[in-house]
Amino acid sequence: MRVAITGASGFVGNRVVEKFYLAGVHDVVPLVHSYSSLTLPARFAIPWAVCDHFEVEPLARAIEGCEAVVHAAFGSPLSKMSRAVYKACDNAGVKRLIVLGSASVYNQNPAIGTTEASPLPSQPATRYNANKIASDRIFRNLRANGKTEIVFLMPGVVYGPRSQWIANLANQIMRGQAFLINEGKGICNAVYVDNLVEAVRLALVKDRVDREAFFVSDAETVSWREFYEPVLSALGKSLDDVQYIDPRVFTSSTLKRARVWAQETAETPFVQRMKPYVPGGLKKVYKGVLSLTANDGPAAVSALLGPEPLDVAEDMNLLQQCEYKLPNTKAGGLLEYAPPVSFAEGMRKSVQWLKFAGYPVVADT
Amino acid sequence: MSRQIENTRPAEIALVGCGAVSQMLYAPTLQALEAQRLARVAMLIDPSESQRATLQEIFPAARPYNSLTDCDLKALNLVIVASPPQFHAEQSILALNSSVPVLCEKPMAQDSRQAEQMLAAARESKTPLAVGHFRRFFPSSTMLKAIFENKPFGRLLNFSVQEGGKFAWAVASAALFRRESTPGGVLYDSGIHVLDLLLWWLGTPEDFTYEDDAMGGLEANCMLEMVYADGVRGTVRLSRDWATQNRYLFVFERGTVVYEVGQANKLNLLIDGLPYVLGGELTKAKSPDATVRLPTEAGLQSFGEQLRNVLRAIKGEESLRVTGDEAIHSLRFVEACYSRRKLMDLPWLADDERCSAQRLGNS
Repeated sequence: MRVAITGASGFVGNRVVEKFYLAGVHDVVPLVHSYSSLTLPARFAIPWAVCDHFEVEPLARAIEGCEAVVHAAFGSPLSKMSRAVYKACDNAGVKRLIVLGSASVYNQNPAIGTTEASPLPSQPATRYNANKIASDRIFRNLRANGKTEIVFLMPGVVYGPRSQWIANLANQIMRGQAFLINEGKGICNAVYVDNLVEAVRLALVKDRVDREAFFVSDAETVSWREFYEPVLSALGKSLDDVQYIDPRVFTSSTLKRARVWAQETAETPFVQRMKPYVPGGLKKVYKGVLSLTANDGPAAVSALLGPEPLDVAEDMNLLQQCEYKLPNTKAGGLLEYAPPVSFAEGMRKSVQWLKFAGYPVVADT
Repeated sequence: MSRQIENTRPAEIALVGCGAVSQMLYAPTLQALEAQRLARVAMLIDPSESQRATLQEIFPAARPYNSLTDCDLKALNLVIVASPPQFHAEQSILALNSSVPVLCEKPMAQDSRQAEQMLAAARESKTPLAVGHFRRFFPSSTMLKAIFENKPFGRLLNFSVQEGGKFAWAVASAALFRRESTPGGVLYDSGIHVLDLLLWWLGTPEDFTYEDDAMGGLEANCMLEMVYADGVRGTVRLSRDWATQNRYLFVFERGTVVYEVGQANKLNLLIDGLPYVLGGELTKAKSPDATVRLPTEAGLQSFGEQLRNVLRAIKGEESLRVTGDEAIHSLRFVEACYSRRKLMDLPWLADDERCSAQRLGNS
């Protein structure tokens, strides 16, 4: 099968290309949005393409002749990209589109008992979640009038070579900035990238999965402590070198909301089209709103008085409070998904990649 | 014999290739030289009208051309060749044969055969050919050269170089990523800077091994291990895939010198027996007790210093610091690396992928 992969220079997209091409699973056509993103696809003598992922025509031309598309790209505005990708697939006669979404549509700490049939939360915890939900709705609406089938895969924390989860953790450990919330007892819905690629492989070929959504994770139930341990040990550290903190409370100030609104409005296709006609004065007002709201709290002074303050991201704060392992039950049934790589093996390969990438790994796990 | 620049007039320059390197490095440097009346950009040459237009806004008086063959070369004092490397030899030789001095961007050519043709053209026309290894103009590079020669910390024992990060140049074409248009990936593109410096500082290694991750295409990562006649061992790790430590570390008998990539006028010294790292800016002492000091060139200023050296050399005021004869060494070394290449260990690949990668990597 000839399969195009959007976002082929990204962590997951690149691994889909590597695995499918090297293991001879499918013929691949890596798609990237700019010439500078060709580094990884260009390691192979394969017919990659550079095209705008937000425009239907160039995308449709790039995927012409492909039976399937794996959509691994992420960009803003996400809704525009989702529309373009589906319409391009439909115009090009693509039979099936695999959308690599996220389990975060059920929030980073989903309610116990959540399945793919559960209603989506009425209040998404973050803007990212809200954008992902909106994107999935666009795909479903377009599918209602289109011919290209869609399968949604919803992984949690995807780790492996080139994963930000692994690299950021290693960077935090090296800076003494690694932290665990609630002693790291929260559940990490981890999925090794090759297990996700296996789910993609199955989703491309299985019957009766059109419009279905699947959680995808490793077989093991893993805590955040267990997720941290192999990386800590690889860098010659232990759980004693981690800062243990309580959950943070994130508030959304009016200024912060104004900033988000201003940025999102500016990214809409309508505003982008109107940009050349907007008077300079109005542009200055917009920039003023952004600059006024850029800093929400004190940072510089505290940095002078003590050690670097912990940078606790909103999504990580929620993820580490998770008490529920998302089930692979549906994927195991309809897709016959069985994760081929164990958590221990996935972490071993992740650590080996850290070494490859030049991190000061002192011990293989 | 090359055309002299009249001392009273700015040098007339043609800029061939209006892509990323011209826009980001040559344009601001040439603007500064124009302001000092040392140079005037007379011609902009690029087959892409949109690329030319970007630079035309900066140099409105420059005449635009599609090709160097359309230009009246007699009017020029210098041709800067900053086009994709597959055009370097042809364009440089065209200028040299018309006795116009050339500053050619690195890598000086697709291969050493083409580079030798360029050298022959420069010799026959007795015209200067400079190559844009501008990092040699960094004060930190000059300082390291002096440390290797004068040995203030004793003999060099070993070194490690890590350089690179996710490729982020706003390139206007896929030329850097196609085997048809370039002979190599990260080693040929940015690694040639590193090799030029190492060969300049330490000479040619006695032996080396080379590995990269190309699997039928162009490498994004590579690893070089070098052994020198005096037993010095060094490793070079380059990437345009992932952020490396971007650090050169030289371990001597009595101390360690650290150069951080991009810090054109800074070095860190770890002198054995001393409790702290001595780090900071390299300055020029203007009084015996160094109470009066002058700053040295930072990154873009070093790039400007390279152009000034070329202009002064054309006037006969000083010699070229990086000639084509010098630059060909790193190109030959790149070729030697590729001739010995092995596939890097890519430990995350499954067994069936490894077999395939090995086959593609060795093909």
